[in-house]
Amino acid sequence: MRATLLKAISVLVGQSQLGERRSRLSRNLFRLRIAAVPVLLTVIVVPNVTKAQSSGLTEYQVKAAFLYNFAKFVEWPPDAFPNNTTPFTICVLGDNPFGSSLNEIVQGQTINARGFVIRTNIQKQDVKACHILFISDSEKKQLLEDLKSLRGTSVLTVGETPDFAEQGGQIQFFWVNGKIRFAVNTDAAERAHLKMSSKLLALAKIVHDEKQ
Amino acid sequence: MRAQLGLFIAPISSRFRDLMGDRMHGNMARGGLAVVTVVMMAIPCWAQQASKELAKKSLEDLMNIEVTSVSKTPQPLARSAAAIYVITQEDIQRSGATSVPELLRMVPGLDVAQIDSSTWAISSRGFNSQYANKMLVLVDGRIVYSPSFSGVVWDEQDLVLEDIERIEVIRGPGATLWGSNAVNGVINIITKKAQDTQGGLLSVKAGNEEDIETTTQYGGKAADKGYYRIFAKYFDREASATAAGEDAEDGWHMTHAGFRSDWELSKRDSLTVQGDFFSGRENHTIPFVVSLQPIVSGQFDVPFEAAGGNLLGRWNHVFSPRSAATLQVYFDDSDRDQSIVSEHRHSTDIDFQDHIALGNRHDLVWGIGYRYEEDRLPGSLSLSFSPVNSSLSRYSSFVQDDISLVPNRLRVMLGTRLEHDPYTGFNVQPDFRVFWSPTKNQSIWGAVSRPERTPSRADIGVRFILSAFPGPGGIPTAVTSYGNPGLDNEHVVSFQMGYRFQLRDSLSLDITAYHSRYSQLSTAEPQAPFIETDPMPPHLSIPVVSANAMGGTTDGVELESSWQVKNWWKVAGGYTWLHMDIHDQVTGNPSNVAYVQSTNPQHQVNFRSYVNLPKNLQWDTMMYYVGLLPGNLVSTYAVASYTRLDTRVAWRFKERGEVSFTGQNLLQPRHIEFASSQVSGSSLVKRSFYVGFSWHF
Repeated sequence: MRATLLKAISVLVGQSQLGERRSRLSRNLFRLRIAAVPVLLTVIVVPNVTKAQSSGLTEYQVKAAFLYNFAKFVEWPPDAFPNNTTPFTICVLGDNPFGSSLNEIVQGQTINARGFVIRTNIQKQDVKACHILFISDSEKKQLLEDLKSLRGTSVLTVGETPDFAEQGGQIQFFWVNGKIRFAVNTDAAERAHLKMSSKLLALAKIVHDEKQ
Repeated sequence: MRAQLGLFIAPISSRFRDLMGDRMHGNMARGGLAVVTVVMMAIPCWAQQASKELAKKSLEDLMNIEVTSVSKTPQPLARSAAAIYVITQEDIQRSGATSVPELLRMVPGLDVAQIDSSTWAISSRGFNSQYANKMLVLVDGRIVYSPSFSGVVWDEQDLVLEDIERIEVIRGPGATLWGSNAVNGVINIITKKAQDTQGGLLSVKAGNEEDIETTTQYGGKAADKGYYRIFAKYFDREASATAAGEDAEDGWHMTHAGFRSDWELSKRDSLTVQGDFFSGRENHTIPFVVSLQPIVSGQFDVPFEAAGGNLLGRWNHVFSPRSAATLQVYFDDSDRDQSIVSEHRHSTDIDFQDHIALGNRHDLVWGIGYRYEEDRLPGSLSLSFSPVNSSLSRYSSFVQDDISLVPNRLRVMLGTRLEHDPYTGFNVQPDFRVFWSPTKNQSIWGAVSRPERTPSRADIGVRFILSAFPGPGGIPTAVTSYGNPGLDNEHVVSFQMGYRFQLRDSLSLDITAYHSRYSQLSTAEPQAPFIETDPMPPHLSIPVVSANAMGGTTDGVELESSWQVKNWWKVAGGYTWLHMDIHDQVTGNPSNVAYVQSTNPQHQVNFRSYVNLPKNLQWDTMMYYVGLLPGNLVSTYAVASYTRLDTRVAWRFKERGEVSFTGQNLLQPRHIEFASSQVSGSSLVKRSFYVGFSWHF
């Protein structure tokens, strides 16, 4: 790579010598090219040019990472887990927008000795077995019924449908400036006997049930 | 930054995304992601690695990742209340195009015609010419519409095509959000953030038309919070052909270098600083009058030297999840030296925008802007400006409210712009849009807008000798075009309706119909001859003076569709129909009308096919049909309809390199695309081939 850059410099300088004979405009550019040389040199000389983490992250890769993180910052009532090593079950209700991202994120991860199980394409009657339930936007028509049927359970519901949290979901993703944020409905969390850590709440936008 | 297209776009997963995410800069990263996705699919281990890294991140970190949404492109498009087309990085790669104007050919509803090797006429919805003045073009929020001649000097808009995130093309008015002159469309070129172009890139193309093009680029991380890239590019393009098949001597070359850096200053603040500089030399064949005594006129090869540079800073601050603001400042310099007229211009532009979500229903965005233009336009006998030097200020403000009546189903958008133009004073440019989505995969939108086209320096004070001949008694006589300091804005009221249909991710259909009513269109009106002594020698001048004397209507339909036939084969196509009915409102002078109506095809068709073959091979084909340009026998000539075929085969190797072979204009040895006797002579586009090589390191 350094060789390539050195070549680039020689091309820049070489051309500029030609350019010098041309015109004022080219001379301006000559200065510019010369200006570019130190920049290129810096790149060559400065060691450890850190290659940035690939930023081609997709929306649902990041959302999958959020789901994984929620498991860390939410405390379920003891009866939600039969024993100390029962894994967290993360489910997706409706169309699965995550592809394989959820599986990739939780693969090999444990929180307090609990591993993870991912269940997509889950049937409605089975959702009570989930710890975290992502309710896909495809469910938005039945959203109220879905949420109603979960009353009295300790399933952490996460959605991205507008007003999901206001309608009684616990955590809702939304967008700010191309970044993903989340809102927490503390009323809903309380109803489900889920204890959200203060850290989670500090980062969330707090919302309440929409007045019926 | 200027209004991003997001303003027309409804939320994907929540209302917030609408303005905050898309508008400020979020959507910059989205479209090209398709390519990232393709790459990631090709290299599954990357994806897994990314997931491993992601799992380690804290919630705070996650909240600061700028996310680009995969294959979501159809969705925001499906939610926009405007005729929008987005050219993605994948389209750019697969088109085989080597310049921005050539890329624009794929956009249904745009008419792209090459005039000579370095000049293009590009417009939508009629009124095409080299100085097509009803399209506003922006590069990363920087306006590149020429205040001297109107229109866009396309040869100066060179970019490293690999760095383009996406090109958003809005057909129809966009003036409320984007500014005056966005009468028939806005082209918004958005480059990738520096973090998306890390590492090195070396790219070389060589062929019979594209003599040589080389790009060297490197992107790295600066300190903890910033990323940068720097690039240098050089290209040399061969001349086009004359009708006889000879060299039209209009070859050109350009050197271009620049940088972009993006900084996360804090959780709430991000900063972009970018700049680039170019210098090039072109030849044009131009008809002009060299001398009046003796009379010397004809077509001459005129060398141009073009150079320029710009520096732009954009600061984005998030106040709260429901409010964010952007401040953008840029300086733009351009110099164009040639023997007929030179242009030296310096612009300073300051733009502030704020977005606030109010309650559950309102998304409000407003902004103020100030622009200062200083220029010097020294001319010659043939073409001069009055005054030679000018400094002009322009003030603008706008507000738009996007009101959600039924969440995800029904929205209305109300907005207006108030601008103070140095020549025409205050003008108001309102816009009203409705978006209705009756089912998940269908949407209908409508818009009524009233944009304005403001006069350019040429409209106000140009003096251009069109032709010269010996008059009565041997006195030199010149037909001269004059600007008019009293020229007013061109007015338009445009009505549009669109329908979109999306079947899963595989099939989409988009139809737009419009009816626009124009008044006060600028014309050139003959006046009584007089004896002119400045410039010397004394001569009889037959003046034609700018006036606002034309009006009329245009109607059109634009249709586009794309279909993922198989997971390895995608096809896309478009059809454009345009009908112009323009008339002279005042003098009945037919030549203005004849000119405006003579340069636009009534029918255009395009078709593209992207095929992914085994062994990392790609085979892409592009076909364009452009209907007859009728010509008016005086200032323009008829251009026969033509079909243009391009094809490209590329092989990717080691996930870092690509070798491609592209053939363009394959059906004929050469063809003409535009024939206007105005300013630049026209030449013929040749059949061409090039080989490309690129390597990422």
